[in-house]
Amino acid sequence: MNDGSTKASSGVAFNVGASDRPLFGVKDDIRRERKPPDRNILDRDRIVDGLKQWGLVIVFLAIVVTFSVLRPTTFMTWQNAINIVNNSSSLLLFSQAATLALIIGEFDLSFVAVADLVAVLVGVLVTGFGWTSGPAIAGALVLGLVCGAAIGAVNGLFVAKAFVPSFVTTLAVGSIAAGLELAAQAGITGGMKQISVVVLPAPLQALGSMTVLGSPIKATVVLVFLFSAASWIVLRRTTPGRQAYAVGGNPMAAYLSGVPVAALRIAAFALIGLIGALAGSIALAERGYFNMASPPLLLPAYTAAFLGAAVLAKKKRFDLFGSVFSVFVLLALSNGLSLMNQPRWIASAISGLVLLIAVLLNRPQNRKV
Amino acid sequence: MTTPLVAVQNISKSFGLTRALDAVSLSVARGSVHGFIGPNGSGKSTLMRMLMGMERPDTGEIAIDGESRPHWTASQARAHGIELIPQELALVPLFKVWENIVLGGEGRGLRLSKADSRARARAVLDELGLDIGVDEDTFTLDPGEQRLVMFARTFHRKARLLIADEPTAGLGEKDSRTVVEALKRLRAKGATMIFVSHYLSEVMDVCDEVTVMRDGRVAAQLSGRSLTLDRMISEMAGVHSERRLAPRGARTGKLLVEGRHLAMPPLRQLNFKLYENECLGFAGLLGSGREKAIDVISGAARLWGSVRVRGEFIETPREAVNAGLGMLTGSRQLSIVPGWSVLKHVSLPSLERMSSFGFIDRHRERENADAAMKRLRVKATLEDELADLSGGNQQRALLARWLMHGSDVLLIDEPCVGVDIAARNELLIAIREFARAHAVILASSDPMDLVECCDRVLCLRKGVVVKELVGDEITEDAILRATMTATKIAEAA
Repeated sequence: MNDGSTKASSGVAFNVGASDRPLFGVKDDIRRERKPPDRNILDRDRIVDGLKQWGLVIVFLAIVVTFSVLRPTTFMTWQNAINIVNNSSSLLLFSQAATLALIIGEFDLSFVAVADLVAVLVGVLVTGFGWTSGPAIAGALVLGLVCGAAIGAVNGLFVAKAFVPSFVTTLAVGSIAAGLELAAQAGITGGMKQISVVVLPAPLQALGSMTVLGSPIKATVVLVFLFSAASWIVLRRTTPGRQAYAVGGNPMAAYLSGVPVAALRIAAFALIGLIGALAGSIALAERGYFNMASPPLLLPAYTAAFLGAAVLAKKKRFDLFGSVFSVFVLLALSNGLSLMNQPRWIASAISGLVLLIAVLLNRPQNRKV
Repeated sequence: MTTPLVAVQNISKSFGLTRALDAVSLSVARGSVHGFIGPNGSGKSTLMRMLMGMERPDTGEIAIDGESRPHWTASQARAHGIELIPQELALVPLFKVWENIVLGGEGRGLRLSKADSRARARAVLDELGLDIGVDEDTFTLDPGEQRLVMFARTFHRKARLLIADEPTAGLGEKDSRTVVEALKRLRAKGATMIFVSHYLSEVMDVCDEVTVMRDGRVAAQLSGRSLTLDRMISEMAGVHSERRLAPRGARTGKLLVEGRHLAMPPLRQLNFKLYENECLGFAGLLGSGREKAIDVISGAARLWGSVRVRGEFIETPREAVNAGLGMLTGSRQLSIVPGWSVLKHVSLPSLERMSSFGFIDRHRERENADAAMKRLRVKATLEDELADLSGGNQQRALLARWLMHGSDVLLIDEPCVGVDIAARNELLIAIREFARAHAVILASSDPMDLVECCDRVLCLRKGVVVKELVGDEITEDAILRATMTATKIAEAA
């Protein structure tokens, strides 16, 4: 993992700048051998490597054990586990959107705003416009998804064709989406007060609370899991997926290899918009009513994506599987803390600390600037 | 005789197995302008970095003002007024000229007097005889003038020894002229300078004495009457065994690639034709436009002009790849995806043909990649991380991707940078074999690469082709002469 350290492990396990390689004038004609595997299980490098690879699993187990001991009657129960799973759909989708953005080497700050906008759009259609029958609701949902994908594609166009940094583009588009959401609320149904008490039509509520095959797991959550699995397969097994990783790893290398970089970027941002719209629609259906105060999930989404990349995946690449696992680490943490009646900021602060430690363990070696 | 400002005795330095400097001695007298020339990798930059205290010699000593300095550091070098004008522009484009000149030399304290700083910048510009306004926006200046602002900045810091590392690289004829004139004015004022350059006629113009470096050693010290262009060229070229295949001057094959009016600064105008079964070379220094040649042909960076492959226009690398072109970039940082295995690198251009309904046929992918790797004798497994391989193996793995893709024209830039001698030979043999079977365009700053591979060489200088060498005319001497000396001399040769 750390190149160049062919020395025995007698020294410090990872010494910040003191590499054997000179920073300048490096001729790389000496093949940099990888370290042969060390059989000694107590070897210091081995422990560090093990921590890097399994650290997040250890953190997860530590969280589970700690809260099980402290709250044996409430935390370590089936009901609570099902609770956590059933509340995971938004963060799962958002972390997927964040991971996808990071895979192609960009940022997207707009998907939460897109989700909220689409939720309001669908909500307004099914209440204010009377799209209350089953097929009409399906139409509203499809329209919402198309809308989300279109907003994402706009992001993609700015990034891929005009080369506006994605951070700026998505910040701007996200702000516009947030503004449109307010306008939609205020303009169409006559003010926020009414909208927050409007009850959604029954089919949509049923969709949100439906469970699968007699189990207590919500159908929407299962749908999100299937969607995640499909995305994972696309990213890891198909040409566009491999090409997306290439674009994120080294856009110039991808470009010179004939990869359609611009098309991939636009498609990826459109997909992120679609995921945002899906998250918004599902959140709406699960809640069953308009709720203006959607939880701030942008930062946790990126936290999960970075945690998954930094700790779980051996090659430190962004990976949906890692992100999904990290989502449950974060959810278990905040769930446990809320059962202990701790304020919410503690969960946020702890997840931030875990992220810092994780990236610190996996920081690039041999950097001076 | 007065003590020299800088004296270096028997300095050696190795990086790994590479000996960058081997028992180098020299001295720079006060008030003299000392030229440094030599091919890439001959040790010039390492020596300069040592004078700046950024690199420690393995053996030997550095003496400043006659006093030995065993622990010479960068901050001491600053304190002794030794200043480097780096190759890259380190200016803040949005600053005014005066702000850039005083940058880093503000002195202690937080308070900055604008009037005072402006006045000092003005004084420095006047002293250098430069016609640049202190209130101009830096980004509006010519490239040559920007270079001069860098000069002014080092002067503002009261430099006693000015090290100008290729100050004219990447500049056109006119801008180079501006810089050279400024250097000459500085010399007239009695400044002590080290001038590192590839442009021999500029070195002739400015320097009192010249050190020629080759393979980490001082090949010759020239001054006075021995300081001639011919002497510099012959000392740089040294003795090389000629190891080339018989060149084929006659253009018998079909026309494959044609480029017309290609431009991408500093490349100003490039026209060429590539025929089947030939290897066409582009020679030139950094800044001659040679480094952009591959990019303009593939469409990766092209300001102007057109390229046709078998009559079809090529606008982007994707079109180029689909038309059968394969690119091998000079800087491998442009080809390597961090963390990726050899397999993923080799198959990247061919993925679309290796998959059905978008799903990658991993069995086919492995088989084809493996076959291409075997043909090029890459010493690595498909699972190895490409970045971990040696330079030679990286290059061959990156060549293998185009064999796998079935490309029939290779565009290669700087094939042998960071590749050791043995691997270099194998790599050049592979390139020659490919050229015999298909066609290759090879751009290199190392004349020997071209001598060993090419049937035809276009020599670039300051953005234009100054000479075409065919067959037996392709020698290291001829290439150096065409690319390093003034246009009129190149034509006379």
